[in-house]
Amino acid sequence: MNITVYLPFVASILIGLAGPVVARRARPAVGATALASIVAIGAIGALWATALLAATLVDDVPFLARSVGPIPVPDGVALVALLTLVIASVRLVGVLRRRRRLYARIHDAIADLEPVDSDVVVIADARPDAFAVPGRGPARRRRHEQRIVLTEGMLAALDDGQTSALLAHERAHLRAGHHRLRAAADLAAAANPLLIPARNTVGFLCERWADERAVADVGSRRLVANAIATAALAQAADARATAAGHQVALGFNHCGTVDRVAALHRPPASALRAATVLALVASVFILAADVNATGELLEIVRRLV
Amino acid sequence: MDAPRHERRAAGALESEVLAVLRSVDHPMKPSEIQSAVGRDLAYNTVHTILTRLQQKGDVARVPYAGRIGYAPVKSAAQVAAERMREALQSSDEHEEILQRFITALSPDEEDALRAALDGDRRT
Repeated sequence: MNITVYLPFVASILIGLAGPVVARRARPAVGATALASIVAIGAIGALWATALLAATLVDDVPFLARSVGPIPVPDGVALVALLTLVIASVRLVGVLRRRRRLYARIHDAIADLEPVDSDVVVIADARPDAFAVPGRGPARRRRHEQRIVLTEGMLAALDDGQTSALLAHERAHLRAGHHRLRAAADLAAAANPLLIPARNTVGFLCERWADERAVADVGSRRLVANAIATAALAQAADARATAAGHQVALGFNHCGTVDRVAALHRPPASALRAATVLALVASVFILAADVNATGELLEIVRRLV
Repeated sequence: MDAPRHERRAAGALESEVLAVLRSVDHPMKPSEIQSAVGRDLAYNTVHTILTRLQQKGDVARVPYAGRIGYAPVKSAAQVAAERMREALQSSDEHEEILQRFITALSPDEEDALRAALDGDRRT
């Protein structure tokens, strides 16, 4: 087994570096889909390569132990790979479970609220906030269950035009199923931490995608930009007023509110074929490396039996 | 002619004051406790009148409390939902990453940049 088995890891780092370029240049819909696909392939490829490295331990299994000639993977590396595999599986299950639990609690919280406008619910919270909650289960029930949560504080901060921009943005998330792209990227990053930067870029691109859909709906880049800036400033002012937002701890933000507003002040980006090309090249690279390494492992196993 | 209107307005203000006192604690309160919490030399009878009116409006409920009768604020569905939402968000360290939020927290630099963008927009 030669160096190719390590290539998926190198590719993961390259994907992380390529993310910001895609974020800046690609049309968000293309960029988000392309990057989420590469990230998923990157994670699966790296996991498979890790499994191959761990599998080179077969020649050390007691009743199989026999000389199969040199295996160019030190046992130490193989053991680390095995441990990595176990940790990655635990983390994957954890990500899925925590995600499901949070959405279940959110659905419970708003279960008794009558939607004010098909799928919009307003909660009596002075802190300006708004987010989309995808439905669960089969398609028909999912559409029935999906909600856009608005706080009274957010409604008070925005005028009517800005509110429709916000609703158009959140509806775009629900309609395009962005939560699935984000979940895929989250899982990939949990399995392979080298992909965390690319995961964050996928999150940013989904926001940009929803912004552009909102522009198409309300017909004004400036209105959407104003809605975002006004909402973000109102939330910051509220956080200061209530002693640094003690109700809900706010982590750092990688969805780039300022960059979104700046992008809306520019004319729309032209489609970037480079994003698709990059996705293809990275995927082929990873798959080829994995196939090559798999062949070598099979060769070792054949010598063993 | 002016006096009754003035009184009514004062009564409205007192009602919201009493409601705010009741909402600021997480247990029911006896009328005497409400009286001292509001202060302002309110007569016990006045407190009682306000509570009766709030009860008729459905804003407060009479509940047994510490062997006596206490008063507790009645929450709207939107308030209950807001409380449960806050608990749900607090239960997760990752809600920032999971939820599809319209906006997220800003650093001071980002605040300045956004304010500049809004101002520039207004000027053009």
